[in-house]
Amino acid sequence: MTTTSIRPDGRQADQIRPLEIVQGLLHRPDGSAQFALDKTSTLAAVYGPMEIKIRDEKVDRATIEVNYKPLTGQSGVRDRWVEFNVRRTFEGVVLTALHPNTLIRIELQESRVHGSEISAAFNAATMALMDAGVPMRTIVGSVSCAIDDQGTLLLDPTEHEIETATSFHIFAFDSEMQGALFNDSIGSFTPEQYNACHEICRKSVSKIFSFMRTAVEKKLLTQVQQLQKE
Amino acid sequence: MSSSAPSPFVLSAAAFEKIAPEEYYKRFTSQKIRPDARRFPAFRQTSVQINSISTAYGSSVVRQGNNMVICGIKGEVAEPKFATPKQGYVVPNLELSPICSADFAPGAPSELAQTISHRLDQLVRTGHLLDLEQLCIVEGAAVWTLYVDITCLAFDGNILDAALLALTTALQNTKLPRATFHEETSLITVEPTSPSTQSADSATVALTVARPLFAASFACLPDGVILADPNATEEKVAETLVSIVLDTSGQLAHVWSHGKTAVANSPTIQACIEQARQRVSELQNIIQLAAPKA
Amino acid sequence: MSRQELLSPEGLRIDGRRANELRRTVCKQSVLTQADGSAYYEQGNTKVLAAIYGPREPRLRSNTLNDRAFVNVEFKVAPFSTNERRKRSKGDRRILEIASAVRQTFESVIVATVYPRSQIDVFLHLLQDDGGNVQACINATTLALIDAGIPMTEYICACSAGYIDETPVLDLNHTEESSFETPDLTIAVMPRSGKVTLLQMESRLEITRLEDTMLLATEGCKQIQRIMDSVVRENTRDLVEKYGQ
Repeated sequence: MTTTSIRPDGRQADQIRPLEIVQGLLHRPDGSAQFALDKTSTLAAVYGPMEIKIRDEKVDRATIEVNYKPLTGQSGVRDRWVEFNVRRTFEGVVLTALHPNTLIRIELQESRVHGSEISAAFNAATMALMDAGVPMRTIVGSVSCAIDDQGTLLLDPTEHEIETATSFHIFAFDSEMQGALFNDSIGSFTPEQYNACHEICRKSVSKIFSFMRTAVEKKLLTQVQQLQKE
Repeated sequence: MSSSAPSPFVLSAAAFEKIAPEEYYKRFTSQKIRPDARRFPAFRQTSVQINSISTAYGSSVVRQGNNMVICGIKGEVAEPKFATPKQGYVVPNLELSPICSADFAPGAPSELAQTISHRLDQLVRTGHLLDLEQLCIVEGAAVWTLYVDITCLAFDGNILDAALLALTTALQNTKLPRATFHEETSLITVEPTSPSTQSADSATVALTVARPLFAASFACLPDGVILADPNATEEKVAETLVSIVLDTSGQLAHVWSHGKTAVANSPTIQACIEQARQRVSELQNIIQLAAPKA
Repeated sequence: MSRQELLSPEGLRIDGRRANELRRTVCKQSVLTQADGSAYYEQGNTKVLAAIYGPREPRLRSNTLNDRAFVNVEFKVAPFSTNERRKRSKGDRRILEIASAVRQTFESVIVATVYPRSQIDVFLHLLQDDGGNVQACINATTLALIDAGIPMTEYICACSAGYIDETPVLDLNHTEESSFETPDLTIAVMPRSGKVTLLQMESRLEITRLEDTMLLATEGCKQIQRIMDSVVRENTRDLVEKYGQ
């Protein structure tokens, strides 16, 4: 695979955009985080474990609720689809059995939209859950990629790159990075192309994980320093 | 099981299934069979019935095991978007009404229904199921909006496969009335006005589906067991659900996997794609049988 | 609507029927796999599907009645059922009216006292609309309730009748119904006891003609009852055979 092609924003084909993570930026929720892929950014807030309506109560585990709000306009079927997938993924990741009869609510809000928002949403949700101290069996990292009409794989595509692509793939991995926890591919592509997308996303998700790790370490370090001062 | 200690308490199979569904399934899968007597790669019996709704431009009824969905297509004349003056609209909508299962409550459409509706919308647009330019009446002024209403009458899991089959077959059998644009009044007239008088086919235009798409879904259970065409109970006990959408040339249009555990990377997906290929040719035969005799 | 010839000089109606002729009626029980009881009812081009869920736990505590079951009826119209596509909201008056007519009709025959603190859901889905929705809904509900094994004191059969010019006509279709000069009367009766549980009329009808029209509609109900009865018997025979094995 050739990775020499330079994209309009100066990136290599297999390069992800500059990452930015801010944790605990909201005061009311139990945990919050903002995850940005350059000009794409999603804000996540986590409430819970907290009281739940009797109708939604599960006796053996916590219920997870996800709400996804678009940047502009009314929320529609696309947002329900995001909610469905985020909820399905985190139901298998959060140790819900530790908090039966409770609700864990994940609120996701697009704050800047420039392609690959769903991946940003997955990553923001992970960081917010960590910030809230919700127990998880693994962390979740997500990367998207697109294939353009020349057959070139473009990692972490921008809005324009997705619009002109022949297929678009979203992957989410756990920290073992063996297989995808969540995958959604759409367009027109061959099994070989699919495998290539899987591989490139699997490899580059480690960058997301290491960046997450650095962010958490930094946050903890400042907290420790603050405590020492007091 | 004469070796086990005699117990006064006997658990019926139905109660066992309710209390420990995972364990119940394991008893079956270890014997390489499913509770409904299917083998792992077997899909439920599927049938398609074409144009049974005479008030619609095109319609189909799909039965897949205990699933039954009905799809009706109606058209309306609308204005195109400025950026795409020649493209019409297709608006798929799946309804999982309380009629189809005790699990669905009356009220706003469920999350699952909206998720699948979005999926179908994406397959039509990004998956290029239909060339939207054939819905053009007058460039920049008038195009068709096709409302694809899919109603589920009986639900038993794997609704994506049934809904997509209903959508594809209904679109393949859709005949649009001829629309004429009057320059002086800039009004559109549609002939014939009611689809029920469509017996004279000369006045209508048949729609062509550029890329018929077919779905095949699978439930992955622990120990690498892959169940094709999961029913509602199997979907609940599954670790991961995988859906594959293919066109007739074997090109992929959609892969969707979601669930509790990571799909044992590519081999599982690869196996699913292989099974989906066979399913597509099976479905093409089923459609051939349903096609109206010329 | 322009004054269409609803009745030809030979006395035939626009769909070729005679004045006192019913449309072709087809019905079937146990058509849905998930529901506790279901029925499909087709009268001419009007097609209705009915599903019964319950008796089951009431969804809302306010619907819990201590002495009997709560009967809930929901009526839905498929968007492709009519010639003009119309997205009807749940709060559409016309739809609520039909649902409440069905509920009130059946409250008089369902023996609800045997299921206290529970709810019986009746879901009706209109797949194709060619007039006579109320009668089709009522007849479909009767069949579905029988299929679900809900105890009832009697069948309820419904039929419509009206007047075109000087001629009383049975079972109006959509074109006849929507002509505003045609009075349209729907009656639901219990055929054995002859009691009337629902009587609806739209448009204007001379009082001297009311009795004729009612009698004609009742006669239609009796015909429909015979059709329904044979379907119920056949379905029951099938069931007995299956269980006998």
